[in-house]
Amino acid sequence: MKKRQVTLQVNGDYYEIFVEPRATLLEVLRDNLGFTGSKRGCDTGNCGACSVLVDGKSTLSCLTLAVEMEGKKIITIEGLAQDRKLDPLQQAFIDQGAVQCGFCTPGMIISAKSLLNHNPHPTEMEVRRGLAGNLCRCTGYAKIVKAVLAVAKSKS
Amino acid sequence: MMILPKFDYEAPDSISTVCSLLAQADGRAAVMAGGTDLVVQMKQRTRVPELVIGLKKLPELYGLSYSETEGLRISSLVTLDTLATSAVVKDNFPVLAEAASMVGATQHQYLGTIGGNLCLDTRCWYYNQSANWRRSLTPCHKLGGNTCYTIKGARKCYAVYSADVGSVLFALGSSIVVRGSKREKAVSIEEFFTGDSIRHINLQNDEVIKEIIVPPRKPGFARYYKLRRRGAIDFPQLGVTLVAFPNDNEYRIVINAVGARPLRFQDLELILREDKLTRSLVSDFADEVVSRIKPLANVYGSVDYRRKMAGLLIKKAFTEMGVVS
Repeated sequence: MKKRQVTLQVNGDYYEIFVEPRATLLEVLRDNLGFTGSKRGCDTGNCGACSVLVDGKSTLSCLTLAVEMEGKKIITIEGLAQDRKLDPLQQAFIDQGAVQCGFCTPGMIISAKSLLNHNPHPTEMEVRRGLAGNLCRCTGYAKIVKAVLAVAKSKS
Repeated sequence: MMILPKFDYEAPDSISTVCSLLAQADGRAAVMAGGTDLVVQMKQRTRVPELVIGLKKLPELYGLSYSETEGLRISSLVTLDTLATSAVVKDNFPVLAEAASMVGATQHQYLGTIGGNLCLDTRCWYYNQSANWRRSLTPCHKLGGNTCYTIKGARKCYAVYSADVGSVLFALGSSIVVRGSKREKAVSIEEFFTGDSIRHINLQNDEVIKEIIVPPRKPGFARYYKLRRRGAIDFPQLGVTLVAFPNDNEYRIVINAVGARPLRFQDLELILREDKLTRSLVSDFADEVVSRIKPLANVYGSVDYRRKMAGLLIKKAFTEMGVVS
């Protein structure tokens, strides 16, 4: 099928690329642009490992077509740190030891970022609900929730 | 890794172009709203359209308004997240916001739309699998074959409709505005569902959902109960909606995820039309409903468990409504 020219805004930079209509945002981010922080897990929208921020909302990039992403502001895990300083969520994950194998971590942090964008002071239950679409098979949820709550608390 | 099949893609900026493209494709095109259902189906090769038509450039599909005369008008691209959080919906039909907040996880609610949820395809354990998983078996009824892998010897498809918002819209007596290449029409939600698991909704090849209209609110009580394995993500093992208008002595119960469409038993609802609604009447009603529904072993949870839970959730709904003696 004919490739299309698409301009994607990823982590503040613009990329003009040619993609097939069937290319998912995840494939383009990982394979064309080299943002391999977003992970390919189930590839069917169940695990949340591929989550990226699209206009500030956690979005499953494995279920999103790249051709539909023109004009959207996409942020991947690589785009969270500013001026070589980690995002508070990234720092909190390190401080709380909220990482085991690390595969779910980018998606977890992106979904946590999305949650705090919309609800800066969530309760523990709201954090758990906000991260329910991100699966951690090391089952290290307690420390992940603790890290997100620590960031929310530090903002108050 | 699940690569999508090849397809052409168009994103028209007018709904009439969408309908004429659909008419030209005559069944070989798919309409894409949020994509949370369609993209998965395409990855699983249960749907392989030649053309995908994106709807996101149609500004008229994003409206959401309420009036006492017309009711709640929700355009088809309104996301589940908007439904769950918008004051217009929460103030007038909190049950709809509640159901939307129970679909999938946050990410699905950001992408998923009300039109897409309404059209959610029917599924079963066999059908909802990857092409690789199904490869060693011949196609089932829904995939054009003549076998059923979940109900041994079944001569027809028993895939289950499980849209949470779809079943609540059904209980609220909504109507669906459908746009086709030749005309626009409104159909009642009862007519919208066919009851056939293979082609479960009444949409012709050239038609697309434009909006959903929920009749104006009346004083009453409405709740949606979703039975599922975890607190998020999963499709329902069972859904129970109660919409009650005590002033009119009208009580609707809609059961979801046990058939090809949401089920309502209007003849049984007459049991509840007594001067005083008591627990014993509700119990009789729940028993009758449970005897009518036929959950099958094609989604998670045993048949007995799901039947029992149907009765319990009906009673719970009426208790929460205030029937205590």
